[in-house]
Amino acid sequence: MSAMAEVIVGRACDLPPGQLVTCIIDGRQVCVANIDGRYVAFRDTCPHQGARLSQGTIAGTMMPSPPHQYKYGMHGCIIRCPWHGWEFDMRSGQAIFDPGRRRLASYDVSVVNGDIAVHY
Amino acid sequence: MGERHRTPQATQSTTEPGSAVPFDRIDCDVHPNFRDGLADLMPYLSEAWRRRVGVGSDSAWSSQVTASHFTVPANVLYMNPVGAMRRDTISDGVHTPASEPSLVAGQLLDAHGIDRAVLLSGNLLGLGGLPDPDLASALAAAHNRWLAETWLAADVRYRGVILVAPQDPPQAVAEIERTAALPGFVQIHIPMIDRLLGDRHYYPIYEAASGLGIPISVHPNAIDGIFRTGPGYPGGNPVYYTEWHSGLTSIFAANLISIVCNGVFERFPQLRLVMTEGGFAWLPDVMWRLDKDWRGLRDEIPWLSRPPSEYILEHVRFTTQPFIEPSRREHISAICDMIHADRVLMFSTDYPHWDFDDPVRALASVPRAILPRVLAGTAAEFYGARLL
Repeated sequence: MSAMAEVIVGRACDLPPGQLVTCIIDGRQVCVANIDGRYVAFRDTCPHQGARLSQGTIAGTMMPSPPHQYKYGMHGCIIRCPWHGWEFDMRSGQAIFDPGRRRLASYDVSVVNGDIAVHY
Repeated sequence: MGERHRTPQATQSTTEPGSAVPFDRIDCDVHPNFRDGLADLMPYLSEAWRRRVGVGSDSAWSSQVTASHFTVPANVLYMNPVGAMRRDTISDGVHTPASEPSLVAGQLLDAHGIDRAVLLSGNLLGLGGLPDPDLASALAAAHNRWLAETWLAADVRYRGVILVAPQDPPQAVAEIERTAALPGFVQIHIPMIDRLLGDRHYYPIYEAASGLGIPISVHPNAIDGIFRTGPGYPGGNPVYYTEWHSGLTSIFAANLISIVCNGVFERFPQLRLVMTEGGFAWLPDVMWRLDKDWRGLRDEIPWLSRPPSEYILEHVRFTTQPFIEPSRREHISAICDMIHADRVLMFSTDYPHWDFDDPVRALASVPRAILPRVLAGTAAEFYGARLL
């Protein structure tokens, strides 16, 4: 197993909850987001047709429910692709419609001495 | 029985069989939008029509509250949770998707290597829903002038549809004859109404189209199943956008069956039709059912001298977007084989709509041997010299 590299992408205090920024890591555009105090990172490319997720929307979604009822939840955790609307849970990277098989390309993130470090 | 027909060619075609197609990608479905709604058409409407349409400072004081000015019939019942447009098509200073020709040229044509794009305004898809044939005809003519000045003049890669109002075929014919003389127009677009395409109501339009060697087109109408004057939705009233949108293909199938069985392609052997954004994977079933029924029932429609499917393969084309995404890739090859995709499929993106197809990613499983035909070859043949 090769050693992972890491890159500091910014100060944690500069990325408040609900915010998302993009940066270039190893030649690829990556999204870094703060979800309620938890930092996540994923490649800024939708696995469907390659759209830029950073140009989509962040919100919640409608949770599984009985027919004709709605229950909104996961607010702030879902990023939605600007093209065909695919929803991804940013915390796990999994696509909401097919969590087992469709996912974002995610990176491990740690906060060290107030710096956000993305491991790649 | 019956003589073998050749696929009708575009007039003035310079594409001989075997000659090199001068393009790599032809996008057969792009939707420019007005910047300011119907106000964009004001320069192209007479004083009388400006007052009738009622947009502008003279519009009635109550227009915000009551029915006192016209809007073109649109989808007012089924709301796309994603928003119906690609979210990345707006930017600083440009608040309406596909309203700025240079921005579209960059984001669509340059970015995806598209050599020619066929344009139809996204704002007038529901024109067929208007009960006033003169209003519809005036708006159609204004659209064509707007398209020529705002878009076709802006970039050599843009081509346009001649929008006509199907409510009044003689006015439509006059508009076709006027606009066909202008450069850049490649097809005649017919918004659907509550009559299937085989209806003799349309024949003056078909006669003009085939006489000029220009194909006709149809497209989802935004008003399908929503207005009584537009095409009805099969079976009843859908509830959800997902339901409504995914079921629109059946309206195309019904219209295809109608235009074939009514002998339109026998009456107008030069007529060609493109069904835009109506799907294509339903074609095998329609062709098999039609052919099977015809074998026993042909005496009811004896003007068909050949199996119905042959008319489809020779006279009709289908755009690729939204492309199919079966979980087994080999099913894409199978469908392409069943429908003779090398003859009938033409690439499209449907930019700027939400279900836009990236030409590389969406068509990744189309058999390599036919991909050049799908991306440009078939459209180059279909549109002929008007594309150049």
